[in-house]
Amino acid sequence: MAAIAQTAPERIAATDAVLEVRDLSIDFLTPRGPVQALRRVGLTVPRHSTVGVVGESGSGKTTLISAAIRLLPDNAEIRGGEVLFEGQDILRMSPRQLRDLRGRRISMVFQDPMTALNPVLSIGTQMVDIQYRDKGLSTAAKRDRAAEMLRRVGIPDPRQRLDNYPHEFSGGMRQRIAIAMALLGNPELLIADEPTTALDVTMEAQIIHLLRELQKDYKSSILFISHNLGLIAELCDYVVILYAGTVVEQGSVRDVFHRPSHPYTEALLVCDPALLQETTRELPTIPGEVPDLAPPPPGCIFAARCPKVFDRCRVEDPAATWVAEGHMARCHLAAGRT
Amino acid sequence: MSAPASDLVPTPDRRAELGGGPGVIRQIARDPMGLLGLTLALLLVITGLFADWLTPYDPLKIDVINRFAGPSLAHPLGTDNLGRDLLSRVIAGSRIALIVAFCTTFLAMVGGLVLGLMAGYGPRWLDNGLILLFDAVYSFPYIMLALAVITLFGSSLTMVVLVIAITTLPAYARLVRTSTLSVKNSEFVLAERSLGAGPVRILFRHIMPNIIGPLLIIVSMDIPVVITVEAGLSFLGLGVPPPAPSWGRILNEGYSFIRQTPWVVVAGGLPLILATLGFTFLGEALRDIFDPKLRKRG
Repeated sequence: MAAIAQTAPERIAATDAVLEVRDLSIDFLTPRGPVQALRRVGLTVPRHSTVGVVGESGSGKTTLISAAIRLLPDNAEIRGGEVLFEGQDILRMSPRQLRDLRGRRISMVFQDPMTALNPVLSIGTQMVDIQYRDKGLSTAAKRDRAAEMLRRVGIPDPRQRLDNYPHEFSGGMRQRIAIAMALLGNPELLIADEPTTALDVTMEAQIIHLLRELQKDYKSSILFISHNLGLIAELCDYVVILYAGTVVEQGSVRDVFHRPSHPYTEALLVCDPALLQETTRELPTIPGEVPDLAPPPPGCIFAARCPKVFDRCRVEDPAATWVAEGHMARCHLAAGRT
Repeated sequence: MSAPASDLVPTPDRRAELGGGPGVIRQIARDPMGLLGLTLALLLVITGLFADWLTPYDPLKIDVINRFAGPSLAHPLGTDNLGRDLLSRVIAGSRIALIVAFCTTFLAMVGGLVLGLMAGYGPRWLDNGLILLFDAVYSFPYIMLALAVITLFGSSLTMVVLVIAITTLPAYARLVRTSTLSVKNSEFVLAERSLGAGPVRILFRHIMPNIIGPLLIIVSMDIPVVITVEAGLSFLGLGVPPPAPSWGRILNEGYSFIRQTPWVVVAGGLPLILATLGFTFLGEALRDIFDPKLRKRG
């Protein structure tokens, strides 16, 4: 790998990190050639905090979290980097170590609650089954724990509902059950992949509220994936802006939202319908589309769509620049501002 | 509130009926063909189970004086070329038919399930290898296989069961493989993996219950086919060795004297027809109950 001099370590300043992704590069092998889905991505999830990852479709959000729990598709190839969980590299773990990790130390909640539960098993069966590693517990004790967890996520009458099948619950209820299952092992890190995208707005607010409550009680960290900036602002402490497989900006939610230092972040904030000041016939968009990553164009990855583009952007990939303590942007203009 | 379940996955309320035994029987009884099938199948099972007590004579006892006796009160179905009572032989034969039918379909089902799950969930090379194997067995005429096996190992009930099981297995394995492929990419499998479930747990705890329904239906409809195949093998002399009273063998022995004493062939053929019809009707009734989508069109 070419030795590109990093101007600064690409991390949120934090000493105690639960998850740390360093220089992660992942290719997808396709008949057209390798697609460089992630290129030298770095992010840190500090203990007891919530980190949001924002990006449009195809920006590599799902690839990033799949790598974090190592459930990558078969055609993904890790080109380099590390995913450190409590200092241990997940990418170098044996299948056994991974299984011990998943569900107990890292758990995941998926996007679509309609398909995330086995349709032919009652939720009690599924929740008892996933506790298979607790050998000392009787089935009755496991059921108790499952019921308690359901109560905790706000399912009324949890003991009776253990015998119900997933189709007997509404979407919001199912997402609560999925969260309950993910929290059964009391994990240090919860990865939530757009957990509210498939739900309506009221449900969304309830789930976000629930996640915040649970985080307080269980003292876990959350890696929250979304394309909804409003949710990120509400739930997260830190935010990572992903564009076409690269982290273009990251920092605390306050810094990034109040002083966006990358033109892409600025454009995203302008485009958020929730932040529009007046009624308009046409919603603002970012012109152009995400570049082809097989291979990515030279220079800055956002150059083709950037309103502030100048000559240097097309030839030289901007290095990570610290615009403030813990606030990084990957833009030539940001470098000039500091 | 009910949401539409995936097309490929039987809905739980439908599966709940699977567990409810009496409910299923009541539903079968509502369909006249189903009732007929159930009656015939039950008759065969009972006859097979209690064959030792039901036979009026020893099915193997030779009585040369009474050979080729026509149907009478003493011998309701007549006697064969060695004077053996045909009713006794038919009753004893029902046990062989049952043993072959159930052992074979069970072996083929278990084997097909395990191999199909492995092919569907395992790595690509394993899938390719198993598919090649299934196709090779599938394209091989079972009579040829039976001939080869019986020449090598001699004919016995076990050999018949094994040969039929091996030749039926690929069809089940292919069905299981296809359903596994469609289920293994569902999000709940990914979710279970993300919560730390290993491959064995995923396969048997999560994928198997999702695909077992269609398999059971196909297997139940294959029982009559297996009975016929066994009779066919025995007719050709490749099946259960004499003097065991297999229906196919009764047919074979009667075949030589069909012009003089047609009742021998009738005694061998009638139970075969009734058993095949019974299990077919029962299988179809079960299929209609458990999987209305498979109901025959037009």
